Amino acid sequence: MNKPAARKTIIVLFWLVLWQAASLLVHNSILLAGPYEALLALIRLGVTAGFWISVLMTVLKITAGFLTGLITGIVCACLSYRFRLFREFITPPVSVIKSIPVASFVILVIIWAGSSSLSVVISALVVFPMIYVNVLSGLDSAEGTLIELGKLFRFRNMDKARYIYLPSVAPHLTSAISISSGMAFKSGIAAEVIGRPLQSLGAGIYLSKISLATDDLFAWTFCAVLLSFLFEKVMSYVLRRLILR
Amino acid sequence: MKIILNSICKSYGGKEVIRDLSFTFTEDEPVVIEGVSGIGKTTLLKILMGLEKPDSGEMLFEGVQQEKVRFAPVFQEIRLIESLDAVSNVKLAAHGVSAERIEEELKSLIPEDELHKKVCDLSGGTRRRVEIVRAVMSPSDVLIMDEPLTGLDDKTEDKVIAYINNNINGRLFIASSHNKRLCAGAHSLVLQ
Repeated sequence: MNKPAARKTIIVLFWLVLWQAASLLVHNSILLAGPYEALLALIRLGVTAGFWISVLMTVLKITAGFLTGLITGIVCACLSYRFRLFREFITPPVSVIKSIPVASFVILVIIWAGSSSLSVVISALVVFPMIYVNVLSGLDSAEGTLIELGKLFRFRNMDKARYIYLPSVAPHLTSAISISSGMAFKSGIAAEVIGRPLQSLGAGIYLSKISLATDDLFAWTFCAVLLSFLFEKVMSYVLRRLILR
Repeated sequence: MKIILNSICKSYGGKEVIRDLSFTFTEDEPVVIEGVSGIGKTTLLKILMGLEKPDSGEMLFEGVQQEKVRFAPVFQEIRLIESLDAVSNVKLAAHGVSAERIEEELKSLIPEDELHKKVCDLSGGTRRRVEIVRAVMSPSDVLIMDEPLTGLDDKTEDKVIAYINNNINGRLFIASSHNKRLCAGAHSLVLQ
């Protein structure tokens, strides 16, 4: 094992030992279950089909929401860049979406559309403004001299997008995707905890709350963190491949 | 085709750069704009291409609709897509021309082993020549070259001058240069 990896492992082990020591000290698994109990809970949950169905449904819905927010954000940013009127028209709703608490949206979506598609809508609403603002900022910072070049030589639209705009949008978009993919998971699962749609990770967390099963809560939370991490890595990888192609 | 300038004026921050300029550019007569640095040569070329608006005066296009005029510029500063090689840079502007044809054309001005290097790795003089080939190969009505010989040594300058003169192909040619040999038989427009 190389030196940085060994150091990271030691740091993680330190915190796990501290956590275990704290739980032994508290000596009440409802207040603070230890990592060992959480691991046992994870294994117990992991052998049931319901657990995997819940995880899969949550991942699918949040991915759908994320992609919806991503695509609409990019499309709206392009339209705003191209049409001044559209930019002025869309600025108020974007500001509203950015500033309204997620919990308010959750309640509204439950009232309007029920809880089954809740995490799709909430993830999309969280992702959309971040992508929109960042892509638009990238487009705005495209080099004016190259824009003139493309205009005078009548570059094809695809070439303009690829060689003039993409280089300035790419850094903004990658950082927006990195941040918003994590946010999509956090807010999507938070919405599920409030709305409790059937077969969802959020409903599992809620169930562990009402049954005071802290070990289950940690097991579900560990899944959420792991999924969020993997999701961000996959999205960043896909995006890098698309841009560098 | 003619481009007619009537009493064009342009100022920047209160400093008058072009004052009451009237001139007619025609296909029959190439024009080389002369004048000391900062006299407004680049500004005039930008006005012609529609990249700058004059403060007053008018610019008329005769024989063609203004929106349909295709310009092929060589800018004063290098403007290339840095992530691409010389051939790809020319191909972006030379619509419908094959890569082989572009390579042949580039070979007349730059060494063969530099054709497929990224332009960011080429010398300033070579990059300038890529820009000249790009402008010449672009389907256009007006060739505009702002100091196209900048950064070239004497020997290369001769090659580039010959290349430009052989490839105007009936297009309206307007350039700014300190070198009077740039275009044979060109009219001199001296800005003062």
